[in-house]
Amino acid sequence: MPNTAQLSPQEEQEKLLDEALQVVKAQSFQMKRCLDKGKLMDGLKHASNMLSELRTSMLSPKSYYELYMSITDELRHLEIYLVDEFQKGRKVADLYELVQYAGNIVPRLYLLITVGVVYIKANELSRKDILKDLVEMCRGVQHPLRGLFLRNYLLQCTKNVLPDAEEEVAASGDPESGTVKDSIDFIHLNFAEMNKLWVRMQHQGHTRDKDKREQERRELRILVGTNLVRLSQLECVDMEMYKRHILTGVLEQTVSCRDPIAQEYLMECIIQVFPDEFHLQTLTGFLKACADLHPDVNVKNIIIALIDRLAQFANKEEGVGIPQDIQLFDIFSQQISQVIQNRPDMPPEDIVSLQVALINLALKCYPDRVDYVDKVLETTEEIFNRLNLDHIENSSAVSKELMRLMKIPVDSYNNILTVLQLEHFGPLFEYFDFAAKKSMSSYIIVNALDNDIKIPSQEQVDAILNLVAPLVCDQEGQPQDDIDPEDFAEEQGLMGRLINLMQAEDADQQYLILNAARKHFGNGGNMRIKYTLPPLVFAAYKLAFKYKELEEEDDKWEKKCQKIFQFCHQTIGALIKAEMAEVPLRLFLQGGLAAGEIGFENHESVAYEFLSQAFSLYEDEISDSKAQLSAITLIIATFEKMKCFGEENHEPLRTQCALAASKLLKKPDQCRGVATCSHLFWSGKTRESEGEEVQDGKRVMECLKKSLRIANQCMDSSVQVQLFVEILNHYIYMYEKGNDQMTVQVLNQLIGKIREDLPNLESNEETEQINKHFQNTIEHLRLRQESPENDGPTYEGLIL
Amino acid sequence: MSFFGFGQSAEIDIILDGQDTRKVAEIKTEDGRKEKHFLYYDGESVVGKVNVTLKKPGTKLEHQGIKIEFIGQIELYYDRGNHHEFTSLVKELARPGELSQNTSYNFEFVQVEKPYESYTGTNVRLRYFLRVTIVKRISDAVKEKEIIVHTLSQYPDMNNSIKMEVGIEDCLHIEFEYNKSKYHLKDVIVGKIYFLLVRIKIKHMEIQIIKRETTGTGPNTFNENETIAKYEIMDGAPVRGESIPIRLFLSGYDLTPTMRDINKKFSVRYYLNLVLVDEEERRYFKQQEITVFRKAEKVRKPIQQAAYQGKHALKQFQSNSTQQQANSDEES
Amino acid sequence: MELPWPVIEDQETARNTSYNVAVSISYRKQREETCADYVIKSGVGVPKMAGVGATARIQSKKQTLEDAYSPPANFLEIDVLNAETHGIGKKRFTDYEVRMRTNLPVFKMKESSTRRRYSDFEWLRNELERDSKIVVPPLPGKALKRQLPFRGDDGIFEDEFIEERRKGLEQFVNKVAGHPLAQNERCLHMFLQEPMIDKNYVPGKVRTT
Repeated sequence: MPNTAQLSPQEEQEKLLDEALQVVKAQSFQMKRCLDKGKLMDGLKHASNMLSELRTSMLSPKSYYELYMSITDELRHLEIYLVDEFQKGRKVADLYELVQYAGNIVPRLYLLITVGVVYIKANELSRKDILKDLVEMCRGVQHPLRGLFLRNYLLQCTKNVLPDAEEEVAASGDPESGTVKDSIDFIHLNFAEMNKLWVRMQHQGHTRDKDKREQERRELRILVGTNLVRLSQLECVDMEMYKRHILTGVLEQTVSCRDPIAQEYLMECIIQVFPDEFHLQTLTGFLKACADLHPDVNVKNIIIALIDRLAQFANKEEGVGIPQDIQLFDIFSQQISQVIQNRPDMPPEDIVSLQVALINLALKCYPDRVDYVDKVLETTEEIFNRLNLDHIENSSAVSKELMRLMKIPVDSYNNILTVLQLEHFGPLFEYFDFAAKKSMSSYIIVNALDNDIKIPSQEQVDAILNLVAPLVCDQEGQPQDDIDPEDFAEEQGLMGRLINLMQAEDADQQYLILNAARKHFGNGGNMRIKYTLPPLVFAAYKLAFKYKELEEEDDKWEKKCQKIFQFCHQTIGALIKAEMAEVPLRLFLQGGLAAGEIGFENHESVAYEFLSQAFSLYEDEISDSKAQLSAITLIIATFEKMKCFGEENHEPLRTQCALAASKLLKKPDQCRGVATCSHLFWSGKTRESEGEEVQDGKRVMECLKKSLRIANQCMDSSVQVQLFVEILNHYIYMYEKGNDQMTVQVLNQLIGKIREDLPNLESNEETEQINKHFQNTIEHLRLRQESPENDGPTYEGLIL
Repeated sequence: MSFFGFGQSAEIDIILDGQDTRKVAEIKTEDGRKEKHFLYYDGESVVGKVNVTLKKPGTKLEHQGIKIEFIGQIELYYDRGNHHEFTSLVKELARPGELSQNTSYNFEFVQVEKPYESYTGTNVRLRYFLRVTIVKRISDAVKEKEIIVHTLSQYPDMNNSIKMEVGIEDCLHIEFEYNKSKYHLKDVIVGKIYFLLVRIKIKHMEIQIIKRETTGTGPNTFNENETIAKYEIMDGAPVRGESIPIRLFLSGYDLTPTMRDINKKFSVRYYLNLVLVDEEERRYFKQQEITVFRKAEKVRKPIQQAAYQGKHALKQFQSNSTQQQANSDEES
Repeated sequence: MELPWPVIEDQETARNTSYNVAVSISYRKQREETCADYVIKSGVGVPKMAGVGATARIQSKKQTLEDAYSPPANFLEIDVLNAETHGIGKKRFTDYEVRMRTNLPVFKMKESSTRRRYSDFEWLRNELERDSKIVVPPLPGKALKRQLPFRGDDGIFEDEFIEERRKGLEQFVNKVAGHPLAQNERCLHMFLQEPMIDKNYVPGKVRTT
């Protein structure tokens, strides 16, 4: 015997299908030819032959479907032919009986259905009777696949002839046409039988093919679902009818079949095909059924699908919204609890997913009901308690789901203050593990910052900082892994920015806020306070200014200011303890300046204290020469602005500046520092001078001369010349300010020196810079010389 | 005068009265073909004429007498020699003499008893025919003409359904129900099969109509079974509680009425055989006898009915009152 | 109602059995036909009809949801697998795992697994031939040729051959175990569900417990 090549299962299927389709092609051709010639009996014989291909057990569902489509397409011709014949009055007597002579049941029933529909269209027998007969006779096909397709054919053929009237429309004498209730019964029976066959499929075949069977079943689900679609297309179905005659029956079949694949599909199908108005009125029944579903069914997806639909319905622009009498949230809340109770093996993440859906429902349908949102959180907390969940791992599904849940109110309200109103938000936080808590905390803070939500009370500040504790200070039992410095900086930066949001309406309240904030942040440890305390100090200074504005209304304002500066002093002290120097220095300077400007009682002492502290820091803590120069420059510049000191205080400070400047290590730095100091003696202001500049010209010259002397000591000629040019500029400034000690001779001298030294410098970029600087300076002088300003001195005698 | 003494010197034709109005029926012949003959019922007179046509006009035909017989007989194929005539009537058409021209003779068998239905079976045949014999010295000229007889029954008074719960212990329990026990030839068998226990893997279920022709008696009884119909009523495997409908139209099949012990010679009985086939091609069956009868056609007046049926029909079934009832649910 | 054990009758008797009273099962051996004659009850009357004429039906009894959706009661699946050849040289033999899953009440264990060799299958076949009167399907061949010496291949221990034999044995045991009459035989139960076959057992019938 010849050995035919082994075909793969796929190829085998293709071959079988191909062969079957060939038969179909041949027989349908013959059938049409016979019908064209008016030979009905012969035509039916060929139709029967064609239909016999559907008796096969060899085809996979996919292939069978293709064959079925091909054949039923051809049957359309037969139907059209018969309807035509009937219309022309050429009906064949007893055709309904004739087609039942066929010996094999599958071809017989397909033909019976085709003829039955023709009879209905031609009003031959009672429509009601025919429909009932067809749906009952189909019981003969118990083979799941063949039965499903047969009943699908029944459904498709009867699509447009199902009675859809409330009352019998037929006139007397006409055969019964039926009511919409008859259609419901018809479809329901068909549905029940199809669902039964569909579920039975899983018991067909070997245990090892279970997965393949499940896949095949899924491919066929639309056949069963079409019944529900047909039910939904009946126009005369009102709410009562839906509730009593449709939904009850469908749910009964769905729950009783105890098959997860069927249950999951059918429940979702119900949601999809029937209108939302119906769902709203039948929620309790539907959700009760959800609770009774097989444990393997993913109930949460079903409920979520329903909730999403209803939420969408509620928010439709021209929609009617949720009727008042339907307590949508309560119903769902209760029923979901029931579902969860009925399913002790439901994974916690699924439970939380359901809560997520509930919260979305609350927010979409009842946006003002903050209590609903809180209720959901409360329920979640209860559930977690019941399940003894604690510090759930960050990577776990339930943690992810919980985070999702908690982010919803944050994102929805976009207002951390509203979120704080949720009593159960905070407690639920505790269920996160450290990493998750931190992540959530950042999320909340970012949200607050993005939405610029001002935090106006101390209670709220406390609440927030308690909530985001992982960001504020070290937590008990937190993992000791290394923190990425960049991440840490970013995180603490958030905290810093948060402080800016803390703005009370009332100044006193603001003080309480700052105090409270400092209590929290103070515990943050040295790494954190670097980021958090400075903004606090600045906020305090700002508050002090505020009090100044309120001087008319608040007679205690000065005392309060003092308190504030004390607060700041302490705070800055904490920073110093944490081994910071530059920032505290700046903070002190800023404070001093502020104190001077605000001018509260005792402000001079405070300012002096702050400046002294700055000096101490400068002397004790700042050792890097570059840092020193910046620091001293800053001190000088700050001091220069201040007018609150009496001569008694101003003098030592001036001197300190000069001394500090002259003690700088590098000559160029010294030179520059001292030169800068000169301005103190000119534009510094004391209390006595009443805001006017001191203008001690002599001391200015001393400084500048000293500066020049130091410049001369520089070894690097390039630097030297540079310094000269800088000093020259100082000279010019003073000259133009009217310092009579500054003479043209002095200018000429320095100019001359520069002119002398410049050409000796190596030509390079640096020299060019210096040259440029010099040239600019000269240019300035020239201009001045040519067209002197009104009040300005003349440059008579200037040699350029 | 025929020189050779054999061969037909005359043609005989038997013409029955009322041929244009009389119905014709079909019957199978022994070799399976179908023949059509005029249809008579019990009690009807058989009237007609016999035409004798001389083959060679002008020649004379001498004969010893011309007669016509009306015969009803049963032929057993294995016993060809013995025909069992249950009805035999004879009428003399002509006394011995001479025929010089074509002659026609009228005959009338008045209200002939035809107790049984014509039947052609596997091993037996029951037939009615007219036989004209021209008796001659050497060989007779014979002509036969078949007629078909149908026996009609009234719709039975008592026609209980058949309902039974049967099975194979612990494997298969079914309850089957057929709507009647007596069906007419154009009837519909309406039934259902209800499954109570299914522990075998059923592939499909069918109903068969089995005809059993019994010939002979005692130790020489011979049964011939023929499966007339095979009708699939279920495809696939049911589970408990499934009801499978049966609707089998008998008009689709070549059936005869049930014949019980016809002239003590043979019987024809019908059985419904319910067959379930499992996946290993094992078969499980349950046979049930049904009675098949030929229903009287729709007639408006009882008088006409009597004319058709005569006194010998309606042995089992009865009165006029039920007749009228039966009329209303006839034939549709 | 306690019934006597069904008596196997031959073709002749079957034809003459009175249907309304009989409690026997008639089995036509040659045609593999079993007459379902165990009558539980019979009745007369007028059935409840639905429809009329060409749509006539008998009213059907409603199926309970439980029945509709329960797994079928006819689950029986036997696999013959994991062929293993034991021993060395001339003393080798191959056995197979016979694994059964079922929900038929007649089998005590709903899942069982035993190891059987070809001769065990032969034994089963012989027992059934003798006791049960069913048509016992054939076994795959004894392959005596393969057991002769001086073969070029490994004879009955060739993988291909073992696979062929395995298929045949699987077909055999499924066909046999699915036969209602064979299901009552003690030898079948022992073969499928007991670890060892006791060749000295007392043959008999098994009833559903």
